[in-house]
Amino acid sequence: MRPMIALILSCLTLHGLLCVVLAVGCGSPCLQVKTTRCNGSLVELCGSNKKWQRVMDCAEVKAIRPGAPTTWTCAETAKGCICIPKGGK
Amino acid sequence: MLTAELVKAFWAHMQNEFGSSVEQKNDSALMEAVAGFLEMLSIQDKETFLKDFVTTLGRTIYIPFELGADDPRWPLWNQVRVCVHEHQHIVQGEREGWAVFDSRYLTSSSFRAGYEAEAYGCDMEMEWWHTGQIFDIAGRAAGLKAYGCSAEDIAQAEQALTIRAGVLTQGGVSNLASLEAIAWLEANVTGLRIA
Repeated sequence: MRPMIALILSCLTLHGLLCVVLAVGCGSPCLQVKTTRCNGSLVELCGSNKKWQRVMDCAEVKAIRPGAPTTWTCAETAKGCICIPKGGK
Repeated sequence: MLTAELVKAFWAHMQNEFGSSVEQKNDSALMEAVAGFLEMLSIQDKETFLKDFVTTLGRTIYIPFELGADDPRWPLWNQVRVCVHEHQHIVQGEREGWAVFDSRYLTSSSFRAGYEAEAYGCDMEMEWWHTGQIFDIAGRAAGLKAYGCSAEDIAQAEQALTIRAGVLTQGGVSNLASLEAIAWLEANVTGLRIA
């Protein structure tokens, strides 16, 4: 059965409804919309629902151009928390 | 240069890599039902959903065009790009667990904006690889209105895309579907990377 259909059917039960409420309602809360943070190698953004949401994983960035940086890290900068090349500023 | 056969081969490769399957959207009773469901939740109107959008449910991708066909609404490059976009949704479902991903996508416009911004990131990465240009971020994020997203959700998506663009313009790509696609295209298609 397709996962989304299974999900819809699961909503018909109290247990299923609880699962949906937990999945949507949980997640780390944040105070100010549009602020960013580093969570390990993840760049996270405070969403309009005031939950931290993943933007990208700096550890997964790969160079697709010759000479592009090969390893990246999440760092706090004047532009907020973003991926920057390791060893960069 | 892209050909119908190359587009089909590309889709087959992505399906194999990500364990997905493809079905025609207009043949699907399930899609008809989902269209009604999404309209009921005010996420998207039924006609738009069925005709203009490719949809991924679980590992199945429902397409409103024939793969490799010469379709003015779906040129071959767009068929490639949407393939990458939809496979990133599969990456999201696998990463977060399908129950969490599906429930958040369906019931929270903010989470939906976040997931779509990540998949739009594939569109941006593929366009940048293809043309060397960053697309109109604000314009693309505004398209989320058709997904039932508010102005605040759209601003959130715009910010996420801007963060991603900063990495992309330095030659970095992070979405797994984009990385797989670019590797295959560079190995199998000549003359596609214009920039």
